[in-house]
Amino acid sequence: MRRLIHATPLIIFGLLVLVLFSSLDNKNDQLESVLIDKNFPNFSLTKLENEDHTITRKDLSNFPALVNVWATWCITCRVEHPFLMSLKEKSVINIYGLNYKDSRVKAVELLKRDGNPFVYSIFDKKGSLAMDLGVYGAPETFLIDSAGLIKVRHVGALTPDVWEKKFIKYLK
Amino acid sequence: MRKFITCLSLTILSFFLISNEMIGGGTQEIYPFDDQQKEIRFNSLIQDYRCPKCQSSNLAGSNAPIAKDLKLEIYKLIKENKSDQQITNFLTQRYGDFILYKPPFNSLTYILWVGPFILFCFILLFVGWLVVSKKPSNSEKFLDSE
Repeated sequence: MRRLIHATPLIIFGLLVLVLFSSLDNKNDQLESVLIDKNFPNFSLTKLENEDHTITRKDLSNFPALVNVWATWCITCRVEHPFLMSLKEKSVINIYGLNYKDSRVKAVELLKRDGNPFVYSIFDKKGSLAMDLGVYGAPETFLIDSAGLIKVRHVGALTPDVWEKKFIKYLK
Repeated sequence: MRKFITCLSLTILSFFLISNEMIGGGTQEIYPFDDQQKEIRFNSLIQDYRCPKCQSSNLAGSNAPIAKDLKLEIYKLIKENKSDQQITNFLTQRYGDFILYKPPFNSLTYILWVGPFILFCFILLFVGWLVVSKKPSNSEKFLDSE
């Protein structure tokens, strides 16, 4: 009994080392979104492709759909671009773009050059809608289910692996 | 001696300046207020919110684009005479409790708040138990040596 008591600090220390060591590797940069199971926030912004065309929440339809936050200055967005294109080509789901703090000319140019996976993009120059969505960096992808509620928020590149793990269950 | 004192005070001063620079005091954007009370509130609020991008610094010390946007938003809200509570609500409705350096007391965070007190009670009990269980052996020793 006495021995056990004397060993207690060592045991606690050992446990602490284990816990801390295992969390070293745990790179969790995915913040839980507060908007899960909530409606997509309302907005009034212009279309990327046409600056005279104002769009609001009502213009997002054909759910389930993805809203993908992207920009020309965002390098990781280039990484996920081919996957977004493949989703479009296979008509898996509608994707709306949210062009985040970008230049309209550059963004349109890039879509022309590399292909446009989006039904259309919302042009959010100041990042106001992005702030309402709790966006803290591009790319981010939101899934809106058939009832119009946000079900998933993914921060970082959308890869086939992430798609399989986080998104696909809401499409069945 | 005088030289030494000058040297010492300069060293201390430079340390102070360096540390001030390191916590982000040197790279401040300008948020002009006409009311000093509001400026004080602004400066204290941006210390209390966490930057969602670089998660180990506060808004005041972060140069991430999102931190700049949020500071600007807080600036606007203060100018609109919004209360601290309203500003906190604005931020938590978008970024969650994560953005608060001082988390609220709720079902997720209660362990953070009461955990240390529980731990302290356990330690007290443990120490008490140690003291009580040691006493007889001590007195035995005392008797033996006599």
